[in-house]
Amino acid sequence: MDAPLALFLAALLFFMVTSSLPLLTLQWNGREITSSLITGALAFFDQGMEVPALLVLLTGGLIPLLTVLAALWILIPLRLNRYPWHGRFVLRGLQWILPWGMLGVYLLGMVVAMIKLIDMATVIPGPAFYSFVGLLITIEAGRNILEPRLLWQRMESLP
Amino acid sequence: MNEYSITAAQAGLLSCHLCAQLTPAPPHGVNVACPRCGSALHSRKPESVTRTWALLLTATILYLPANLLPVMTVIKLGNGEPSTILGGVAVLFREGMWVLALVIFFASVVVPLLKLTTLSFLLFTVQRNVRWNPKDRTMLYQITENFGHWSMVDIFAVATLIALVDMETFSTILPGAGAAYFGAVVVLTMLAARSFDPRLIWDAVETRHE
Repeated sequence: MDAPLALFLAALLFFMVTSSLPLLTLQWNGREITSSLITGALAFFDQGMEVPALLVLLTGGLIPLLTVLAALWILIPLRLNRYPWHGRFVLRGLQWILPWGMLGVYLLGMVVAMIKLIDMATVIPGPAFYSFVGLLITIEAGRNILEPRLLWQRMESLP
Repeated sequence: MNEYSITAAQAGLLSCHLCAQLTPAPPHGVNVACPRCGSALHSRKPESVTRTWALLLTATILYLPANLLPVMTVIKLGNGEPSTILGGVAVLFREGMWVLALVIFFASVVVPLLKLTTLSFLLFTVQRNVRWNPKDRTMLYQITENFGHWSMVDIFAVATLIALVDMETFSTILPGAGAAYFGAVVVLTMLAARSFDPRLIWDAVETRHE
């Protein structure tokens, strides 16, 4: 139970860094444009394309965040031998959203975009880009070693 | 199935899909919730075949505009150049970036098509009680379910491009309607894979021994 807890705590830190620092910076002709995690989704919204906007926002941002928060919500109390507040609801919710986090796909999409722009401008990954990779690794590792069935058993044994 | 092993259904038990708790099955027609986690209990995913077909057919219909409509338009010096998913792949090939072209082609074209055909095939074999190779069919299902979400890569690529390239740079990149349809196709195929119950593959195999 300690490994997933450590991973998700690290993921939370990575998430905070990723959402507060610049992700990608485009330089061209003396101009500079910076993007963050949600800039793409907002740009979709601006163009009136709500469906892709929501998809990117959810699968690329909100669901990974909720995954980390829900995992910590369950794991931290269990580590302290307490029953998580509304544990049933949260663990069910966690299992429900678990398959919908797509950070790896987001990273690949960013790489594809960067390569497409390679002849036209300079794209520089910001500090948030590297913490994004850290976020991806810790969430994926956490997701893989997390065993919901064991969590249910542990929760059942607590008052 | 030999005389030593028995399925949960045969033993009159239901297994919870979230927490794996076994619960005695209620009389037919009564619905019961898992005593441990509270989620609804079913012997098989309810209406699995119907729901999967419905989601698959919708996804197939939307697959056409997803690929025919452009996912983005690059406007350079007043000239707009719309590009579809396949168009984007072709451009990458022409520019010599064939590794990237293959990656996109595989993720955005091959994977969704494979999902659609694989799930259709699995549904077909389940409905006809085909007994061919259930192990491989189950593996086919697992692969389909695990790699489906990678088709979203184009949506994220377009999102990154439109975030970085706007009016003030060398060109403007605008998203196209194809992106919305494509996103819908990916979500629908993911939902279809989740509504399909792979245990149905084995049900047909089992009846032979009864």
